Amino acid sequence: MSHSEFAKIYTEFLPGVWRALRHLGVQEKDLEDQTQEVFIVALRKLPTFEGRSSLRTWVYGICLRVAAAYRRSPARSREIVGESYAERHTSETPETALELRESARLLAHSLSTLTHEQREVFVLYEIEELSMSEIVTILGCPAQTAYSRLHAARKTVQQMLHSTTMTTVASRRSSS
Amino acid sequence: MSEQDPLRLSDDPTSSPLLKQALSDAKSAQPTAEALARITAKLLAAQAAGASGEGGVSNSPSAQSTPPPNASAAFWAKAPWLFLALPSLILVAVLVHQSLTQPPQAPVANRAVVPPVQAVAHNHQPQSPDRPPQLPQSQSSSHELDAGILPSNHVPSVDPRCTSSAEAQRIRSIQRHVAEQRWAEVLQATQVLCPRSPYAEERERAIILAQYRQGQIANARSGLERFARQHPGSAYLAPLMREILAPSP
Repeated sequence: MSHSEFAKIYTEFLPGVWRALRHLGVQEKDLEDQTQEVFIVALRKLPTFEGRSSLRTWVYGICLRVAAAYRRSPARSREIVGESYAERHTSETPETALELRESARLLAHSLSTLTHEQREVFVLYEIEELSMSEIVTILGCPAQTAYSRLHAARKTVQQMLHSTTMTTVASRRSSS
Repeated sequence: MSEQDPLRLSDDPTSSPLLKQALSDAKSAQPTAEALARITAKLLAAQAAGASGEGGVSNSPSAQSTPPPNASAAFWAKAPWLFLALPSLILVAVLVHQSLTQPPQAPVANRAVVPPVQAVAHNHQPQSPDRPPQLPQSQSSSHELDAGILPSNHVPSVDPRCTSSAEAQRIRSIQRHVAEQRWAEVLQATQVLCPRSPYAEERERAIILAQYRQGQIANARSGLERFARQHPGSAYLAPLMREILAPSP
């Protein structure tokens, strides 16, 4: 394990790990602990990292496993959708912040309706912007399986957002 | 993205503006400077607990999810250099984040309660971030001063009985000792200052600095962890992190 490897992992992946865990369903109150857990695992395992995959896929792989362990944890209470999507926008105008919070809440709600497998692929591809080949490496599944999950996840998210938008528009019309 | 990869929804012109907005927002999410500081502090606390053989990495409500102390100890024992490398890396991340995202904040709460002392606090020049910290004089001694006075999961509230002019005099004395770098006197003086006074923030800052300058590195870092948790918006936090977490020259 070298200093430069650790430096790369920490400085490059900390925001992404934090973000991925958040979108994989880790609650805000547990986010710091789970982020810490990813890096403790990563640093413990680093001496055995053989470089067969990139550091990026390796770190995100740990991230998925930590998130999966978190889901199985009996201490975890039910996910509160969109509970943590507000604090970042303190510098926005109230109207803009409200819109951003709403869009984030809708996305969080959509993600919560996906299966874990679909959610992993969607978060890694659409939010963390990994390539599909990287995702296939992380998941260790056939490429076709990963594509199918992504397709299904996209369909669900788009439908959820569309129906929510329609509902909102309809309620606004009826109230006006 | 490889050539076979489908167009991402955020780049797809057929995606709805709402979806693009949501994805853009999700991609730009990042932890706050305070969260970064707390993650850093927890990692440091894990190291400190491992080094001392003590259990209990964190007293936070979600501490159940932190790794077992023994596992952390084994890990950190295998990678002792990380203890030195980690703070500087995280410090850079925190400071960059803070400078980009955080508006300036008032140094302490309760300013209206104690204007004279706050004036002293504001006039006091913080330790220069560019000046390397003094070499620790000893690595010995667990610090008894903090024990029992600043429970790590307890945020002191202001006790009206602790707002007397005597308390104000004590914090002025402490700040003078800090300015003169008389660390033993600082530690002594903080013992008689009520931890529930309006000056708790200054008191804790002084204790952390004094511990660090006296070579009580682990105590200083665990104190910094508590400070970050109890005073996440404090203007003292970034200077303290520069001072305490900077790698030794």
